[in-house]
Amino acid sequence: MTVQVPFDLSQLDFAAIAQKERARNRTSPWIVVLSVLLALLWVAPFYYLMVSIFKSPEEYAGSSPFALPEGITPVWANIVDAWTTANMAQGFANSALYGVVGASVAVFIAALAAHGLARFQFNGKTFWFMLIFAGTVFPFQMYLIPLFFTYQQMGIINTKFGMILFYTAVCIPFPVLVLRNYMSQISTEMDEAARMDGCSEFRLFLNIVLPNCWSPMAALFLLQFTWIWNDLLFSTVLSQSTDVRSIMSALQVFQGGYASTSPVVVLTASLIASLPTVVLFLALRKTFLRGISISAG
Amino acid sequence: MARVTLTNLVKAYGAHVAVKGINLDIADKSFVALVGPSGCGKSTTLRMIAGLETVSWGEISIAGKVVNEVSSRSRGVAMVFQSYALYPHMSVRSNLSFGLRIAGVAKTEVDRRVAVATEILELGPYMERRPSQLSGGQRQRVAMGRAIVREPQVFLFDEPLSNLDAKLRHQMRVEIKKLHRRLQNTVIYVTHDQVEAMTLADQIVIMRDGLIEQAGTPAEVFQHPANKFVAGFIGAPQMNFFAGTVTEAGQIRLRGLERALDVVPGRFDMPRAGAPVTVGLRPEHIVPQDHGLTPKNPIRFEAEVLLSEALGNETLITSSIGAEEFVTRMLDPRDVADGERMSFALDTDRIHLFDPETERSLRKGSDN
Ligand SMILES: Nc1ncnc2c1ncn2[C@@H]1O[C@H](COP(=O)(O)OP(=O)(O)OP(=O)(O)O)[C@@H](O)[C@H]1O
Ligand SMILES: [Mg+2]
Repeated sequence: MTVQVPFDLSQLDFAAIAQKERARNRTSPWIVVLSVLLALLWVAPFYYLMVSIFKSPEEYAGSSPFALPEGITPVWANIVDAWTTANMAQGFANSALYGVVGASVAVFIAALAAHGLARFQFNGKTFWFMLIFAGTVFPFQMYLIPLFFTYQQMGIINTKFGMILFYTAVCIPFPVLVLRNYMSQISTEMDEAARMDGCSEFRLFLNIVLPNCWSPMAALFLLQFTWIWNDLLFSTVLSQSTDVRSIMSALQVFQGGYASTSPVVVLTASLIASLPTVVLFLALRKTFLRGISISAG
Repeated sequence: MARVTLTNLVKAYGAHVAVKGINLDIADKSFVALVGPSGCGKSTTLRMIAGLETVSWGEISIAGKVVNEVSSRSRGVAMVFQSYALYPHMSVRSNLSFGLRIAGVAKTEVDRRVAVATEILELGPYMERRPSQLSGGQRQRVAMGRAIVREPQVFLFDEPLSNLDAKLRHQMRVEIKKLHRRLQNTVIYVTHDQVEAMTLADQIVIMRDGLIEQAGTPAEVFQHPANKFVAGFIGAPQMNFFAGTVTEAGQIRLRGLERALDVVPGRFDMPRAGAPVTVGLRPEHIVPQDHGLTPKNPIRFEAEVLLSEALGNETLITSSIGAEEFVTRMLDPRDVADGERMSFALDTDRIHLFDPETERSLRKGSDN
């Protein structure tokens, strides 16, 4: 073997190399056009929403729906109109209660169940898991009629307790599925170390397992909260009075009796109603993107 | 006094018996290594001592007290896991103090013990970091620290160094040795690395298939292996084995060697003439001519080199006597060509003899 003279890097044209690399990665113009078209398709309704809420009912009626608004001040009147007509304050409070309590209790209970399913050996383990899992298989609408009559008989129809009970229960199965898989990946040696450190089973769950599941739990909380918040069907069937119904059923006042309300007010109301889930997503985004590393231990 | 005694210890997983009735008496302050091939039941034994597995049969006593039904945390043992098993969501400091805090130890005492462990293991700069922000060696030290703060009577290690690279492993080996000198607890150390076992332990326990094959000091198990399995397991490269026959004169004939091997008088229980024996010889006792000390009582022979592996400071040479291959080490090596004929001197004073049937050592006074 002979020792080679070091290769002279200065003879290379780096600009040319870079250009060649770029050419290799260049996207076809057709893809770009297609992407833009698809993006417009997605943005169009949103654009319609955004321009409309800044128009007064008269301005909306008198111009093209896609025309830009003349000013932004009418938005205040729209907000006030939407807020009072639909009694949104009450709806907000109710939905927040159902969403926060329902989703967090459901995710916590799911974590308990998942811990048991992932960690303990007991008879009929698969059976219990399949039973819980079955809750995610059937369409929820199937529960509607039996639920309505049961609630009526139990006297919890049109009560906040009844609403929370339903939302909590229906939000448990899916998180069990996700958390069981997640917890199965946590090293059992960590559990054993904790037991040797003197942890009881419950403390092990609370102090060791739960803190390592924050990120999936936050994501699951968000998903279930959003589902509860956006639910219209069950809220409509299980509640009637203003002080129990959720924000989404509150919005129904714009149909039927109050059908005379201008579309701009309806649009404003729906935008306001969907703000909390957006805000919550932005707030919790970091938590589950950060992702506490489990494998690192 | 943390003497650990295992009496007829059995672990059965359903029909599968992982540990088949082992008896072991581990003296206070001693460092015992459990070694053996994968699946032989080392971890299972250790985990029973730790209280992480139930005992199917038999008894474990620590410091004179039977602990079969005592929970892990009350046994006075601490364990270092292969995967370190640190708590990922806690800082190094919290990892160390967690066990003490939940046991309700007073804050000043917790701080004192954490400070001691930190000092011993030089963890000072990392106290506020999470495990994911540490290197493998540092995590290993935190895992040991977590065991130290509990001030256990018995330390249990399950292959603690197997995730580290060779250099770090050596470093940590030295640290574990120092730690044992300093803390003077009883240590039970599971490893499949015989270098670790030989260098760290006062007592080596060789297991196979749920049973103890031999227990003794490193020198004992190396020099006087009780059977062919131990002889082959301890020592690298492993001992060479040849099929031999006992002659009328009480010598041993190997097929492919002209002269029969003399046997040191009185050392072995010799079988009758004509009986087969298994002859064991360590690589260093078949010396390539001019590359090592010529033995006092040699048998010289020539053989073809089948393979040579240069390691720098020595070369491993594979050759054969008759049809049986052997490996030897060439010290102060020169270049060796495959197929070259080479002269060797075989040290007849160093042969081991085993019964080919039972594989037991024929040496007099070997216990099993
Ligand atoms: N929970 C269990 N259920 C059934 N069999 C098990 C269980 N744990 C271990 N075993 C079996 O018991 C035997 C001994 O396992 P053990 O973990 O003690 O081996 P080991 O000597 O530590 O091996 P290694 O060097 O690979 O770690 C193996 O055959 C293993 O398959
Ligand atoms: Mg093991």
